[in-house]
Amino acid sequence: MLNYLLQSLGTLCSFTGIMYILIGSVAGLLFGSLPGLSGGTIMVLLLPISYKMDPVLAMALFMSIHIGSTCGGCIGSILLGIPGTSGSIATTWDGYEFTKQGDPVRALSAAVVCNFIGTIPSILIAMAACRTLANLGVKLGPWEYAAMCFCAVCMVIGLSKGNMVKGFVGVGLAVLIASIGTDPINGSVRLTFGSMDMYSGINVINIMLGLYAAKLILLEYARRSRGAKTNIKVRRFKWPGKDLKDNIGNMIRSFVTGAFIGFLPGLGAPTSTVIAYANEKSLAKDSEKWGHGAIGGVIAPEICNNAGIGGAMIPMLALGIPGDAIMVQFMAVMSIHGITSGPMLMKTNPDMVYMLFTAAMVAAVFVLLVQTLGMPMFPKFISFPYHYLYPAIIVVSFLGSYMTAGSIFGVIVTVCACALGLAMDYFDIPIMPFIMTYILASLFEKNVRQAMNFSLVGVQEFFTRPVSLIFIIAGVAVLGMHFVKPLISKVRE
Amino acid sequence: MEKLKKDRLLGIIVLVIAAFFAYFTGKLGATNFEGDPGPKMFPYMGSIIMALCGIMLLVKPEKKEKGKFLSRDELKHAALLFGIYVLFVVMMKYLGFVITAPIVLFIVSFLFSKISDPDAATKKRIIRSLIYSAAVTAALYLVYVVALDAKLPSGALLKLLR
Repeated sequence: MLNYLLQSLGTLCSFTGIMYILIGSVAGLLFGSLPGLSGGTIMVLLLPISYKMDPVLAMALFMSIHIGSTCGGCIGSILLGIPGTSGSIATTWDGYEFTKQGDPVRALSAAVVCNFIGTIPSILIAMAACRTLANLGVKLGPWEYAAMCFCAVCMVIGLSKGNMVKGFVGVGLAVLIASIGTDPINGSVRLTFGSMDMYSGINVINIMLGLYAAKLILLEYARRSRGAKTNIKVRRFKWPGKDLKDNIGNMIRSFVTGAFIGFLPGLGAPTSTVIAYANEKSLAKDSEKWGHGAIGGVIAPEICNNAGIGGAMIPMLALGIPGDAIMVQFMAVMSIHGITSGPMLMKTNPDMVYMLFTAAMVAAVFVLLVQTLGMPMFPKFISFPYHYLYPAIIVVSFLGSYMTAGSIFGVIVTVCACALGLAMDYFDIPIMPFIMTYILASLFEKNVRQAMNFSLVGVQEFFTRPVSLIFIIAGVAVLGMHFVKPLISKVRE
Repeated sequence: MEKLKKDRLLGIIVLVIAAFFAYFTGKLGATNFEGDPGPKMFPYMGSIIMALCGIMLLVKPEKKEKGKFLSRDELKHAALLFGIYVLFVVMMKYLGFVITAPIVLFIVSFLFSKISDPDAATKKRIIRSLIYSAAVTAALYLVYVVALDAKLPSGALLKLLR
């Protein structure tokens, strides 16, 4: 393990490595701090050109963007009261109060340090957990994998807010679209409607470019989003020693919340940060101050937000099940280079796995440096004119679609995915179950069919193998909670 | 009340999609592998999920009311930008990247500058958008064609003219 870590560190210490990390961190910070955009947007845009990069360095670049974006979300929350990313919503409640009181530096300094403190241990935990989980993962058969996919999709639907039926509409739609192309077991062509372009299926990158980039810009224009203009002056970073010392318990609890929830597919930072905030508020001695400028209200969500980074990496690297939409993109980068994430990844491409961990830690250091040294520049970050940013994003996303498919068909898919995303928003169909099912669809179908081929007793074997049964029960239980919860609250009332 | 109608409409659309895919799945051939459920299994599964959801939405639509997704004005703006997306696809196919990119960049930049910089004079906005579109097109060309050696569309119409 140490070998690979040192090897990755050596690669990152080269000029190219440093540039990848620096550019990724700064770009992530910029996109993360801009309300409406996120690191996910720039990652989607870079997906099509990542095939030209060295795969290991491409992972380092994507990881540094992810770290930068996660850390940058607090800038918009604290300075504007508008969260840069969905994981920084809870930071807004107290962080912006500091700006209104004329002391944004205190909140920003605490947030910046907490981002770092949250990231490093979460990566170390992920490193240890991935090995163990991957060792277990190699012993699993197609029954267990199919059950795991089922469980992951159920969790995304069951744990996310909103109408469950609509979550299933997303799942059904993803299954149908994923069926287009060549079947993964016997290679027969299905549902291509005579189009040669559809023989290899609909590429997930084209869909993501439409669902995330093209739709986002379209809605920003429709809603006349002006971008942020601020006259706030931010002074230099101030070491928040006393604030951290007074909040040690808060930091530990918020870290555990973030790391655990990050591990579960579907919930992610928006939920974990709100839970951490609510939990800490209820435990705080000065709870009446929360919401009016309590530093604990900045520390809790920021630690929690970053603690989820490592948590989400564990199922993606060890089992091939993405914890959130960002991990889907990491899987897409790997698939561009012909690498499949899952338990074998630790054996076949350990350099890539350890590069992710090393890059995350190095990027966390870079981001900390950029944020502490560049704090007075933060108002400029969030005032970046949208009329220069959005047109370029549109053209880059369409060029990326073209390159991914190698024809204009890719761009057509992206435009259709944008229309689909708009329709899904209109009908309140959540996007996460759709995209999660789409990425897991091929794995699920392959494993279900392999399991049926190998099995002597058919479907029954899914229920007689203990691990498979546990995943099926867990999936059903999470879905069942949706029905049980309202009943329990009714009985309580 | 709007929500109620919306869910029922969604239910109908979902049922139509389910029926459409189920019909074409039925036309697929069977598998030769013993024990394998075959290529029909997965699309049928999707169709069944969709059909069940469609029925649920028709029978039991949500009763909670929610604000409008987009107002009439916002819808117009969304349609305008979507039209530009479609225009981009058509232009890319027939005119290629070098002509399409600056035109689309100029239009979109000009449209967005109307929102994010409303105080600037129109002439100034046009000049800025022109410079911007030329600069970004050149930068993209350098990155994609020179650095990444990517083949960008040269345009079917231009090919014919040549």
